[in-house]
Amino acid sequence: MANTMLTLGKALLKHSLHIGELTGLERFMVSAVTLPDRAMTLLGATNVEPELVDPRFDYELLEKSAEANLDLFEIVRQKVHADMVVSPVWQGLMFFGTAELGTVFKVDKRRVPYSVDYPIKKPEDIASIKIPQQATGHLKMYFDITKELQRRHPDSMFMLIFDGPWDLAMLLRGDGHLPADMRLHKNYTEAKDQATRDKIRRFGNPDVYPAIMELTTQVAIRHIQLAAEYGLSLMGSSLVDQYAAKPIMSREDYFKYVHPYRVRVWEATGKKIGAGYMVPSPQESEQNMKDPMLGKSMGGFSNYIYPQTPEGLTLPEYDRPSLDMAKKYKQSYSYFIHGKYLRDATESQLDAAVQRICQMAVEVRANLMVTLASVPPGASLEKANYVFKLVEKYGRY
Amino acid sequence: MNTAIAQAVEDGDLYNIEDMVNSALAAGESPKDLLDALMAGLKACGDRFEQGEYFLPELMGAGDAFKAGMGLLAPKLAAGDQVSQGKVVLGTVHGDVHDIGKNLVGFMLSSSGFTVVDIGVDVTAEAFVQAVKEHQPQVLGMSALLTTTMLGMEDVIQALKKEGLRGKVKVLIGGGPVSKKYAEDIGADAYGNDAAQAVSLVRSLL
Repeated sequence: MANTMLTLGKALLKHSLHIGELTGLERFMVSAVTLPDRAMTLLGATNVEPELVDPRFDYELLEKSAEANLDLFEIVRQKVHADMVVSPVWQGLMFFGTAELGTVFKVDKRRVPYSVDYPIKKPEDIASIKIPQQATGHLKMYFDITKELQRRHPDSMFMLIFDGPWDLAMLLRGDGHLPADMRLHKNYTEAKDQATRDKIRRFGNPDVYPAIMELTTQVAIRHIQLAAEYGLSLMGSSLVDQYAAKPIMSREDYFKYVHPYRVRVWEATGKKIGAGYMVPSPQESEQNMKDPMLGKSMGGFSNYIYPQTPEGLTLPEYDRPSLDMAKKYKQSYSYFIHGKYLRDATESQLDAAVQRICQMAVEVRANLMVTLASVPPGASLEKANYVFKLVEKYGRY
Repeated sequence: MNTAIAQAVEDGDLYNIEDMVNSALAAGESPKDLLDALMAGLKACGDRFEQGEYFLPELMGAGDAFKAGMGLLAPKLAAGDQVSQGKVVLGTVHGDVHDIGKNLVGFMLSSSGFTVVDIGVDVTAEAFVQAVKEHQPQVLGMSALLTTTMLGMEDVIQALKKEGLRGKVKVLIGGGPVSKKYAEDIGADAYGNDAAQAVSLVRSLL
């Protein structure tokens, strides 16, 4: 992308002198420093079901063709009026690089690819998985797509997402086994005496969990290095371990048995990658701010896994504390409209929801970013645009 | 009740449960009382999950400890010792292989004394119908994680109607993309917002 500091400087000047409307990217850049002109809007393009955009695109095509992903992304970018449209790869979790390490994905025309078989079935399988020396397969396709978009749109940001050690391990070992591996390891390391440890060994191998996590830590580091070697900008990139959160595991277990591996990835790659940790309450978000790695990540305050009403809206009492804390820590509150709410709600219900959160952000004078968790079948691009228009209407500071 | 055994299940102490059950049997405790202790441990674990104190690894641990204890007790239990609260068939709909949510629901129901028949993931409408015919549950629970696969829930309800089974079983649906409105639209009897609600929802349907 163009010189970041120059773009930021121009955006700040334009904002402070009130010279015209900020562009979407300018609004994002200004929000990193101060309050922009209005709340921001962001869409992860891959969250839009392809059939809603154009029936020519399906997951069988998108899994094979980088060009199809690029074409679909350009159409979404034209049709959806968000400040930022990111995430241009419609391949489910395939593009995180484990398909090349042995994870088997099922690809159907109308369903996002999903994992059905995992290469680590027994301890000996761990050593057979080699750290990639080059980007190949779907990982390479992901890099190619991102590189092409960074070339085509130098005035935009295309943030890379990398799976972290836990999520990679879930894709290599399977969600039916990894939590049990962790529990066995935890019981073993926290056992009071050797006799208990000896007994635990009769029920399984407590060394499997750390061996898998060691492997996936090295894989995660290598994936990030490969992206840099590929000439990709890592600005705004993030390391994601979305399955290392509640209710999969407790906060205590996360910090003891997952976080240290993530810190190693973060440190080994020059602390350039954001590495957040999804939490179900604003109070826990504030605790995250005290951690050197989590506190520096974008999206520290997000309603993504906050408890919801049956209709799919975040419980209303969670919003004000999140906005207050986002302001205190100079971050944004990322407010997701969940797919089922977008699908089921009437226009007047959407209006009320967006008006409420925007007015609260304006009152608190906190940065707010409204985004859509998904645009599922039954919703539409028009409905997505309607939400973003509402933010433009109600979100002016 | 043997509180030590109940506590061992609650703690997921797979490593000692068999020794404890064997010792209790040797000491003359009845298999039925020991079953009650195992169930109490499972229930306590489920309660702690509902309260946000326990998570997936703890549930898996308690489930494993329960199964190990039951492995010893099952041959010794008399007919009628295991009184079920009701039978529930659970499955994830066709095209969807996500089973964590379904497994959590299954655990919560088992720990509260329901007989749970888990028919797995990627289950076709025909297989759901077959399971209802075969197991004759009071409740059928369907799960989906994807917005695209949840649409298969309606196919199952239609298939149940076609086979004349809809009036014989209550249908409960759940999963990330599922909503109360969707449940109403497709004619399901109830919708669960999360796994912790499963027991009270199923009870309300019976």
